[in-house]
Amino acid sequence: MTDQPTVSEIIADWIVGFDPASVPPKTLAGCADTILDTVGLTVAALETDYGQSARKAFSDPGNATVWGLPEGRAPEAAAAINGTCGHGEDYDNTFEGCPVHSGVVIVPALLAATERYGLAAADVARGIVVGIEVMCRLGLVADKAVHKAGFHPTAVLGAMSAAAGVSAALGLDRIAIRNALGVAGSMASGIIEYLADGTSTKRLHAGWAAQSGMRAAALGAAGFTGPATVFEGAHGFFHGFSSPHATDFSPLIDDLGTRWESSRLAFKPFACGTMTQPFVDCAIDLARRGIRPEDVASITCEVGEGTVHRLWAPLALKQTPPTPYAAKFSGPYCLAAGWVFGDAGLAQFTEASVRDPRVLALAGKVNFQIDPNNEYPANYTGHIAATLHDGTVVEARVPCMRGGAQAPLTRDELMAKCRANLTFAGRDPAGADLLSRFADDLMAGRGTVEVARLQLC
Amino acid sequence: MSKADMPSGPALAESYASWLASLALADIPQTMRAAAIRDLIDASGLCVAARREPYMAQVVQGWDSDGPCTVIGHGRRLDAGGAALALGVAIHGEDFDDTLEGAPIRVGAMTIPAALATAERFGLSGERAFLGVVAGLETVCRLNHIAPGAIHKAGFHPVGVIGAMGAAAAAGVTLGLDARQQAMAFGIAGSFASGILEYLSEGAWTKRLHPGWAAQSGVRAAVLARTGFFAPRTVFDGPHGFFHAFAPSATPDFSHLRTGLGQDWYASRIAFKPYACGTMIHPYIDCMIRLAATGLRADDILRIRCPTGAGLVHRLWEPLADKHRPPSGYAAKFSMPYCMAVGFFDGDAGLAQFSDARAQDPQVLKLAAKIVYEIDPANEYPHNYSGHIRVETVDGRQIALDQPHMRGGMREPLSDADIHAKALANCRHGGWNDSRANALIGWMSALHDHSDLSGLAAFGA
Repeated sequence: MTDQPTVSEIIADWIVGFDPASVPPKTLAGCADTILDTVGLTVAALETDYGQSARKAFSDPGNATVWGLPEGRAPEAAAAINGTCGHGEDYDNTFEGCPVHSGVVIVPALLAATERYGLAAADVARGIVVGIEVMCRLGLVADKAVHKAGFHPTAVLGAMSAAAGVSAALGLDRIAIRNALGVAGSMASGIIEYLADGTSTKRLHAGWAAQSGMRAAALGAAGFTGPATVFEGAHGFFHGFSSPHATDFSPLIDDLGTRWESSRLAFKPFACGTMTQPFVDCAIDLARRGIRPEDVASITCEVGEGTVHRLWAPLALKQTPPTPYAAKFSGPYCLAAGWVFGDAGLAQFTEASVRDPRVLALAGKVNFQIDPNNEYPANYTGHIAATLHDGTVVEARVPCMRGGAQAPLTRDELMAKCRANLTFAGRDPAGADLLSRFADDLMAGRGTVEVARLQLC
Repeated sequence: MSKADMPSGPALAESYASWLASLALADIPQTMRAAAIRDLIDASGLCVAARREPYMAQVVQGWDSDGPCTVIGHGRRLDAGGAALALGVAIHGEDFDDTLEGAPIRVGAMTIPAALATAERFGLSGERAFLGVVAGLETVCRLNHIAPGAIHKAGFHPVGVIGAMGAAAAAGVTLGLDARQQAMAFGIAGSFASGILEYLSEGAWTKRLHPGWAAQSGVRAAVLARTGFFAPRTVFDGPHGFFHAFAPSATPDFSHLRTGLGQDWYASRIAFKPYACGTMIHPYIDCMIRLAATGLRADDILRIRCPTGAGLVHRLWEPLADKHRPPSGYAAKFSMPYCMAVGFFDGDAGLAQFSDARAQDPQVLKLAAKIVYEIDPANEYPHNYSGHIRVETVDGRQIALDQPHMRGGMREPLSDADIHAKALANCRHGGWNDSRANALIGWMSALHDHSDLSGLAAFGA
């Protein structure tokens, strides 16, 4: 072993010397938006089947808050439920570069840690910034290689990032942070077999990562040792979880404190897979131009190669998704729903919607072709070329994802989304105002954080 | 992926879960019952042995939630997840627990804790817990034959990843899940399965964590499955499934989860370790103990060459300079040269031989530095663990000693008396007197007769 600091030590040094003044306003705003968006989504999913399962199974008693519910849980159990529900509809924040969902891992972990340890707002805010920044940066290292190895980036990168975030909030020293990251490497998990049948394990991954990160930080704080070379070692995290093995760690460790990946978080306008969103915008555009679904003979979409096995193949299955959840990861369904309904919010992913004959008829006309020049995963684009029955070809292109760095959603748009989510779940939409204030106060680092207020939203 | 790749009819997890769900005590033959009882005795002795280790204090005190479950050797009672974690860490902590020849993996450390914690948490009978133990042991052994070597090759610790599945079987059968719920428990456990190998670099403690983490993952997966949580039934054989992710280089042989269920009990062949270090090292230690018995002194030795299986090299021999001077007593357990050298001097390689102080003994390290390896392509590893030393003395003599198989394994099993004596010694190491140790051994031997697990509480602290 050399005396050069390891990757986890470099991250630990950054966390130990963390300067709040170095955090740009866009990062703080992105983190506050993430809290607003995440909590609203969690509350909206509490009564779903998977939400009820998670609430029943993660039953350890305690005083930590399951957002939107009066009864408490042990903090790690609360984190598991909040993360699972928050990610449940795949409507939560993401990141262009590698689609990692940082909000549903980091916010549940940090708010549960707040309740376990009684942390001050400034500490929690630091933990949230660190957790989200580390997760985005890990996404850049991972690129497509984690998914290609058969693992879910949000799950495995999430455990590491939650450990970093909770360690930062707790003010751990360098060795404890290094150990926490080393331990988290052994807890990180999440395979992608949910792709086969649209089952709920993808949802579970965010919550599981959140509680794993909390436990890893607790073990690191208690002195349990983990490998210092957890990221880059010959048997390390990226050896196990990436294929081909990621070896360039500069996106993770260079310019810490000056380059802020967390200043360009993406928020989803639609309740489906990130890469489907520009295609939905294309479809809504064509519908607004007066093209009716029944006029369409066939559709071809140019797509990025890396999106094919997630969104487009096997085509027959994607054209008739078996569940509302599977529909979120079907390019043909999402664009057809946008075309027919004019939107792709939570209401478009119900059992009734995924059986709508008009939508399925249109989805059945969709095909795709790989565009080797597509920028995915650096940029998410959309394209539809529809051939009409009279032979006319109409086309729509969207150059980037709305809600992403190039076309961000405003706070007002996120408030509207939050209100719609609360309304969909039968809650008072005014809860969005409470959430917005809660998020801004927290990220401003003022006083203590009363997570219990979130019981009521 | 296409629809053609998807299994038609029941997926593997479903057919295997159907068998598990139907398991009854009357179906378990005497050989399998005896193996499970031996493992329960061995595992519980190891829990006591590790009770004063710092990592146990960290795990037990660092866990968040109190609860109704006993951690053998500790006064604090934890929730089911915490007890499963702590028991799993304790059993495997000193690397003295069971193993499986042919497809090396720990078996009891992930599954026994899952069954005990689940039964205690939900007030279930000793018979359910015992069935859970049998199911967990058998599931780990069978799963580990499906892609031998390939999980390690991909950078993962089979104890962690296979362990989560085994623990899901142990907890699921203890709970009495029906076939569909048990299949979902496997589907969920596939998403919890974890454990990378980077502990190999510097002897960090995460290897110790893996069986415990697997055990609590299995408990949570089974409990979650009971609520109806929807998970991929194709978790084993699907195109993005468990073996795709954790064993990408393998062509999985799924027949091990299909054939001979209830007839051929893989777990009846579990091996128990006479020494507190890596299993594959044991036959080499036996060679060194026999070498010492010839009267040869360490200073008479110029060099020892060890023909070895290629699969052992990256774990136990390389990097050779680090293996010659292991940085801690724990790292010493995975150093072939250290274990051989300390066995030569002490005539044993029990827990006392792996303290941090002993690992720095200059005399031992001097001998370790004389030990090197050469790959023997004809070595039978992993089907058989053998030991081979080729000694050159300072005065030019050549001595060759071989141990054809591991003691404690199929060819030369430890007797019930050996297992009992090992557990007693381990309890003494943990500071217990023999009457308390014998009470624990007796309680474990009769697990399937207990109406509930309330008696386990007597073995806290």
